[in-house]
Amino acid sequence: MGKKILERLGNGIIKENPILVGMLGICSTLAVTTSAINGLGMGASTLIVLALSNLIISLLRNFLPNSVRIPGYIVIVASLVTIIQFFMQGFVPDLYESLGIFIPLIVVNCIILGRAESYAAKNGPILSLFDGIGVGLGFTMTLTILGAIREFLGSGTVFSTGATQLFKLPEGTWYEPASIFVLAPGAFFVLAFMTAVMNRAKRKKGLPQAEVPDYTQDGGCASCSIDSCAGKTIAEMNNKNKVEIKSRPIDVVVKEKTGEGETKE
Amino acid sequence: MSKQVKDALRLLLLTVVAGAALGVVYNVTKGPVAEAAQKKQEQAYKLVVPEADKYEEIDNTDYNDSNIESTMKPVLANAPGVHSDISVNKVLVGLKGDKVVGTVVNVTSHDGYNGDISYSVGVDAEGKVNKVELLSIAETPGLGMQAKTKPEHLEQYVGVASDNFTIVKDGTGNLKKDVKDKTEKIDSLSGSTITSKSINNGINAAVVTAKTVYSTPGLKTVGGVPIG
Amino acid sequence: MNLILIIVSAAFVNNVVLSQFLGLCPFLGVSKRIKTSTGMGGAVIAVITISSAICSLLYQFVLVPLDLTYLNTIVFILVIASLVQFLEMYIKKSNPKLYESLGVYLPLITTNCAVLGAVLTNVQKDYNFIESVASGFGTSLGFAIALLLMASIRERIEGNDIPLSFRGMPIVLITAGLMSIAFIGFSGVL
Repeated sequence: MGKKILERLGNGIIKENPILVGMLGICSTLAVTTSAINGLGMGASTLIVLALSNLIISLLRNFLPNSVRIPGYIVIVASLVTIIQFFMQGFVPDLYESLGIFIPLIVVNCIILGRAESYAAKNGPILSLFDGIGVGLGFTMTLTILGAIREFLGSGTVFSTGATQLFKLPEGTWYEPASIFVLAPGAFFVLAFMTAVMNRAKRKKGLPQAEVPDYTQDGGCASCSIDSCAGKTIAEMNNKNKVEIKSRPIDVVVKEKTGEGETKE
Repeated sequence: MSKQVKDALRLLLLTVVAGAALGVVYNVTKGPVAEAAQKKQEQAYKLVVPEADKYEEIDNTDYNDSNIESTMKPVLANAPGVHSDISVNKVLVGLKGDKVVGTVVNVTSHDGYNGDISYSVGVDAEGKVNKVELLSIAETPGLGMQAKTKPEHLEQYVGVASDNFTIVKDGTGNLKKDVKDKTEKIDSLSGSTITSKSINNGINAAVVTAKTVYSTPGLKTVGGVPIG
Repeated sequence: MNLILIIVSAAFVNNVVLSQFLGLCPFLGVSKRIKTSTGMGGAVIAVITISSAICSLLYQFVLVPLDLTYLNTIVFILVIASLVQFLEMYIKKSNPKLYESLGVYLPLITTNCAVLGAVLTNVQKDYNFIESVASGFGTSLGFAIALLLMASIRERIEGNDIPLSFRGMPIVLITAGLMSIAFIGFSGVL
């Protein structure tokens, strides 16, 4: 069990890193990483929602009928997000304000529905919890690094809270902070370069590069390039009897539900 | 019962449970949420009028029975430095013992780039701006948000007695000046004239409000301390 | 006049994809061909405009009077999910030809954060019913424009000689970044 838990944690951070490998949840990734603190805060909130939603969905996996499982997941995730929202408002109001609308938007973060569908719906609660923590850590880590890079290039500080900071570029040095990195274009550029670096590393190891997800081909969810993602199942639901998805991650124990949906027609 | 009805009922049950859970959590966190907002305001009072040891609201009943926002509306409409719609949310008088040392004016300007911006402005007994502290702002990071991340911008107002500050874009403002050389000209935030002007209007409105409070004869705080 | 300002501001100045980062996933995922991007753009315009209208009514006349505004996220997402489902069934039955060009993209929209984002923004900015519809329409128009532009550019750069590490995702992100710089120019219009 212990080994499996560790495997789940490592999987989320490295092998299936949601942003750099899966290209998932890019919206919030780019929007909130204007500073390292924001990245960390957003990552942590997503991590909590992800871990709890995985746990709850895994516990309810035999209660929720197949045909209404997606709306069911949405209800669970939306409630968790709202609860997190209340707590942030009460205890970290400054962070809550700077993340703004992106806190409620965690609901539609593809990573969460993706893990629910591909892992939590098929595995026990404890492993699902740790799967959520692993993927959440991967997300948080990437967000914080991206935020730190943008904050350094754009404002000349790292982990700044306005009054105090971890690091501040002294004035009049060789680098003059360019605020474009804090603005929208900078987000695209920094993520592009991070992915390019990942691509190079992967190419050296003979692994495939990060592809642009293609909805029209995969028929799938918000930018899903891992073939075990929520969106796929939306397409799957539509052509239930036509398409059968064969490739599943090896470590997933496939536990089919009553099978009503599949054999009805 | 058909399969579909059963499925729908299960989903409904889940939704009801989720809704109930939310209701419970909402009621539990309601207290801390309100407290956090209150605490933030109190901290702001302490920052903008630091000499005071007590902050009291104005006794409105003797003066005008309507609330402060509608009292100030006609006055602000004629003020030369106020060019947009500003809400005056709250006016407090800072007291040290029984002596008035300054006024805290909470204002909201509605024409920020991303909507409302709220802040506390401290005005001392001579009509000088003591300090401006942002309460809530949601401007674009890297542009309007510089009002928060670059404290030197709001620093420009400190120590100047004026209710007609103007935003300039030619670098002749107060940004790099000592207190004694400061004028009514405020350097705009780079790339964010809308935000700068919006806050500027609000600060002018706050100074006008504070002056009105000082110059109204017979005005008292709720604790009975005479002002002005 | 005010309504026109809301539409222009939502479509260009605060472009939903290029300056707010909402709906990036379909922006990247459906922009490979111009033809598919037009279909997706049309579907998004329909869904966002209609859900802005419904959610605005629900918020004003149900959630606010009952003092349940804290339930808005969960209510809105359910409205959007069922609306998409309903629209799909309706178009499939009533207009098979339209279904072929738009309907196939509908299921992809539930998890499109631009829809929920647009609806939540309306509430945040205290828009009334008409303003909400205008803002929803502007937002989705901005999405469609950005998507179409992106698709046209991607069709052109497809055969280009791009450095190996930048092939695929990175070059698309850089393109988006350059487009975003161009859209910043619109903020001078306000």
